[in-house]
Amino acid sequence: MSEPISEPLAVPFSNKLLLIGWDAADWQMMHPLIDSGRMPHLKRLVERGTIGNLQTLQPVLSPILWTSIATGKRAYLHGVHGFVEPTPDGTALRPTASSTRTCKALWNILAQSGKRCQALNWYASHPAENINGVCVSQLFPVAPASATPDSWPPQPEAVYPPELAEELAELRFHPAEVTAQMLQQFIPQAAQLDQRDPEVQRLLSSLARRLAECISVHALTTAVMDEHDWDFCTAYYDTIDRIGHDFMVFHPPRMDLVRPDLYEPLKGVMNAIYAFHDQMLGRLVELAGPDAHVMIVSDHGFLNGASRPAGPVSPEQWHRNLGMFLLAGPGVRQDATIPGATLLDITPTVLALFGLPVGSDMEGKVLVNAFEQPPAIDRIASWENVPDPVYDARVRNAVDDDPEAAAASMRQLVELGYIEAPGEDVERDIVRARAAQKFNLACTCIEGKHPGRALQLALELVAQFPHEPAYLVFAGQAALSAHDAIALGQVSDALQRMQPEHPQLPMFRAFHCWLAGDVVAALDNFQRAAKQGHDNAWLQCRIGRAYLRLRLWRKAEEAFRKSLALDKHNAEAHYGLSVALPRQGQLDEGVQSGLQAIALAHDYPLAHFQLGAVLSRMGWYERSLQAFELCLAIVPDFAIAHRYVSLVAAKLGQEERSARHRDTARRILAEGLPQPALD
Amino acid sequence: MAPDFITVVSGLPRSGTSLMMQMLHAGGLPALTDGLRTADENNLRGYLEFEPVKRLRSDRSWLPQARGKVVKIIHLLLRDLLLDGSLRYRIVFMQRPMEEVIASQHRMLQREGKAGGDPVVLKKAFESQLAQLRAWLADQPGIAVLPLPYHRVIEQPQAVARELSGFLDLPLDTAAMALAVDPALHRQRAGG
Repeated sequence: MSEPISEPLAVPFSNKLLLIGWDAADWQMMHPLIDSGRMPHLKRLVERGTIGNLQTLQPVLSPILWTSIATGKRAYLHGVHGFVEPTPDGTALRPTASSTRTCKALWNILAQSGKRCQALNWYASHPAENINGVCVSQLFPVAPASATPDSWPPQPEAVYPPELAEELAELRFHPAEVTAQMLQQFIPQAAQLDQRDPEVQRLLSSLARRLAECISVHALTTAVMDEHDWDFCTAYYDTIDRIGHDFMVFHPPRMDLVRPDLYEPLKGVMNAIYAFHDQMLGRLVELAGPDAHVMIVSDHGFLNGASRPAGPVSPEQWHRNLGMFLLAGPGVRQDATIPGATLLDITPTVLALFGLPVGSDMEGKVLVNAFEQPPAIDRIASWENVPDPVYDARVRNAVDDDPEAAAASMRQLVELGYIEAPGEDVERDIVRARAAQKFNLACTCIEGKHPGRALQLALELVAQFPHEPAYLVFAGQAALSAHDAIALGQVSDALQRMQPEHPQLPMFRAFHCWLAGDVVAALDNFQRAAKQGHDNAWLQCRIGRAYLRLRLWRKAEEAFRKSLALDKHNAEAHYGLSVALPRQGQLDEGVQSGLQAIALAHDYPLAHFQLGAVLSRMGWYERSLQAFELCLAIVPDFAIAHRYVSLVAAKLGQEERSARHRDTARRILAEGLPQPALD
Repeated sequence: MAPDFITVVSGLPRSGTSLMMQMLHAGGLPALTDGLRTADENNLRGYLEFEPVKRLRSDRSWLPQARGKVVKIIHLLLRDLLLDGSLRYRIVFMQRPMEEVIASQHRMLQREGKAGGDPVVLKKAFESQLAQLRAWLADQPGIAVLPLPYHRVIEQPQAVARELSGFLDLPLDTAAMALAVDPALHRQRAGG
């Protein structure tokens, strides 16, 4: 069913918005630089705007996350499941294509609403899309190995409209054009480095390549902003993340694993990269003009200081779960902070800024606390139902790619002698890429409260790779999310047979006991796992939750405090304290812990519920009701929360409200709807 | 004077691409072929193919050799053409009912002692590939495309020959082109 909306429904806050993506930008890195005067342009925006942490999503992989930022949806709705994907014919891998995205991005929605858009260098944006404005894909700045500064043909399909391709290609900067003087801006002591050292060569080559790409993107962005009219411009810069993966190990304080001869020359690279972004930001803000809104976001943070991994880990394990959010411009609160923002909130907030309705199929919220006067928020069922001839033509042409059918057709063409068979290594890579996509999708399903689907996907991976314990472990985690004790038992047994000493087994046994209701046995297994060296903030939360179930409040408090000692930003540990402390008479402390939990994870229904319960005990009924209502906004069918609202409303003399919630609670219980487990 | 573009005959395998190569060759357009795949029971007049085409994905260095000539490239490889502006293309794209195409492919594989894929699965995949290709070709300003139904070539060879000559803007020998079409070779109709 279509929804014929093309005009803004509310008064727009913004007529012009610049949305800058800085992959992996982290306030923990930027605050000291702001304080020391090395990021003056960012400082001005902070002073005249609202900032906050931006909670990331799982899995912490950039193409998936940036597509969530641009769509307001998780991967199971937006369709981008990894860095690469098999080509439609199943013969090779390619960067995940824009045509793979299964829903509208901000630039599609705004373009169809009459806004002139510029979407530059975003992940999963190739081929460039036909929008009302300029679209340039992420392959634009990338120089193939065969390219030289004098011979670097434009990447086909990277620019829309295509007639701009030649002109924009002239702006690209080849890695070979990065001079020693340019590198010295980032490594003043470059002369101290032994350029014959393979590791030094690798690092300098990487730095040059990343800088060249960054300069290309910035030249593109400033040129397009300057030469073409726009209402919405968004540009994505990946340099902080890419450089971070090579150089964060050299950032102070010195890590034990870092070679001393490299530490001194390279210790300033990360700060220099941030300062470089600040310089670019100055030009972008200048081009946007004084009346424009400026938003800067990152998809995740980057581990720094003592939290850095001490040994080799996969790249995504360097990603911290809190990225950055900044919004400045007319009507935005100045020098303010907001809690509880997530990546999913960016698209709804941008739509509200432009006075456009938010799709009810978007999973985030409008960040109303960023505004002096919250914008009016209109809603429609889905922007996917709003006709748009340009986008709809794209969808019609993007026929369903069935990987199995594509593989069958490929085999047929090879057999017929019309095409060369892909090599074994290519076939293996394709199989692995498909598995990674399935794994990532399953991770998203776990976080997005679709654990049944996640378990199904995980079990498919186990069936496909029966000798790989990693998939069994993942299936166990999915079974746990699905509260499926039978599946968890089967997975544990299989893992036991494959690797009897696997460190995950005590955890699975513990959860199996937990799901079976044997909290004492579960606690015993959790503690055993902690003693076996698997201790972490999450595991201490498991121990704390077990003590809560056993009503051993003091013991629970100890576990949650241990968790916070390991990770002070652990929302669950703060929540656990908000349960354990009031039971020991510490009501004020309980409220503070509840507020901390919500600040770190706003969409945390149990934290809102617990806060409401404590506030009602303290006689703060109005605030208690607010907390319960927030809880119910997240979990509408939470019967006990309705009961609480009914009781508190009665105390306030709100009889009609009280009766309504009492009836709702009865209906929910009568219908047997699933209820959250209370601590 | 030889044209400064590459003429490409494309389509699904067994959609009449060899027939079209023969027509254009007969009309005076040189074919880029190495003669490695010779005539057989499946293509009595030969395939007129060029082995490096199969490796177009990994090696496009031979493409400039095709300037001024006609070369056969199956549908799946068209997106791997060099599109940096240094070469221009005119594509004759053969169309044939999918059931006939798949039946013909199966016959060919059977003669070679091989098994063909599930026709239902193949139909879905090929249709998907053709739909994506159509959308892609529509966005390629440097490529001109002439879709030609196989049955029309068989039934109206003279008209098709004139149409080809006009599309390629070349003084082709249309009479010779029409003679290159032998309806007796059209053996694999759907269900037949």
